[in-house]
Amino acid sequence: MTFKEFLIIFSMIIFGSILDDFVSSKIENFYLHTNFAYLVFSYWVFACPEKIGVLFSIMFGLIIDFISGSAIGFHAFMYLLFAYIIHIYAFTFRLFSYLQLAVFFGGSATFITTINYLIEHTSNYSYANIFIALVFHIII
Amino acid sequence: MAIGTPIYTPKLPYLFAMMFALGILFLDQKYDYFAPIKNTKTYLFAETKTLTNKLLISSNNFFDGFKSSQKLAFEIDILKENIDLLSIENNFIRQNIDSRNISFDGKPSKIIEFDTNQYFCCSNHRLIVSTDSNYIHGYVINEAGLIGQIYNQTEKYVEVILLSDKRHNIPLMHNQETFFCIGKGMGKPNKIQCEIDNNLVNKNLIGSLMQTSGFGGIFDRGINVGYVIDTELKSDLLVITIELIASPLVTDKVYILTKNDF
Repeated sequence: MTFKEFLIIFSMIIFGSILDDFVSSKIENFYLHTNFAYLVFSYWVFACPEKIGVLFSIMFGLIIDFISGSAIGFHAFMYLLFAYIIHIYAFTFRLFSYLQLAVFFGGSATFITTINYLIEHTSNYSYANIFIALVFHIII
Repeated sequence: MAIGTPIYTPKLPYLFAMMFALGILFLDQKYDYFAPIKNTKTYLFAETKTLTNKLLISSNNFFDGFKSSQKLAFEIDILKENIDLLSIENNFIRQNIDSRNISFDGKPSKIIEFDTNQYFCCSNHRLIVSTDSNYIHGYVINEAGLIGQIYNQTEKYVEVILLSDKRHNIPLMHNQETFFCIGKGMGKPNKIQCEIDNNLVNKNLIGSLMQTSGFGGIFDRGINVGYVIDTELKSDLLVITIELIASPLVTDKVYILTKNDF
């Protein structure tokens, strides 16, 4: 990966993280928890699987951990896991329709949000919030 | 955009990297090993925000400089700040005037950063305030009342842990001193919980006022904390939910106080 490509991907992931801060909000008694940073990262892994490997996955994950204030290592692990899944099923994903891709990436973004709640914020876990996040991520 | 050709994906590097990430996660959650890095991040973010605010104010003043009322506008801003601070002092003194021996020698401060996303969604309820003194033990009030205590200090910024944070505990007492308990943050905005022995309580507690008991060496005795809104019986324990009087969302002007020693 050239420096220019790295800069583009890195700045888009950072922009996604900033967008998370702005879009995530309380709606009546529910909370919309977005995960744009992961969606941007997973898009680039899907689009350029040969460019983003182990090193960049763990690096982007640690940077997002640092910026978002979540547990250090959490996003690094999740980004590595889904980068690996996207790599090994890269050929299968090419046969997927757009809806199937949306369901997979939306579902994986919601999965990360769910595990984050289970590890760090157990008392705030809410099925309603998870469902809202799932619908939002699939639509996005 | 053309999708790149997937190449062979080796398993072992991913496995080792995932175990490495899990190791980092374990160290962070169990031993808080990366606290210095998190403190550095807090300091950098707070400093960036302060500089950005200063630049914005300077640019506003620059454009206002062409108007003759620039001086007046500046004086009005200072007066507004002073009114907010006096309001905090007045409310606090009024609240505690009838018996407490709390002398009001707090330091005025301002909230620099408050992650409201974490406040509404999750259980980390923290905010950053600026200060020009060193605080090891102190508590923070705003115009509505008690909101939290000092958790950590980095240079001129102090991290305040709110009463509703999941990791926060505050010694409480019933306002008629009929029982004492430890108020634990629930991770939910404006709510804390207390567990008391059901045998010690012989009346309905809903609506009762809970105050700080003065134990623990951080908070002065007798500061109003909140009202009981719900009770639940769990075996021999009565779990009471308390709604806090003060919300950190009301204003960005706060006072930092330390416990009076008599």
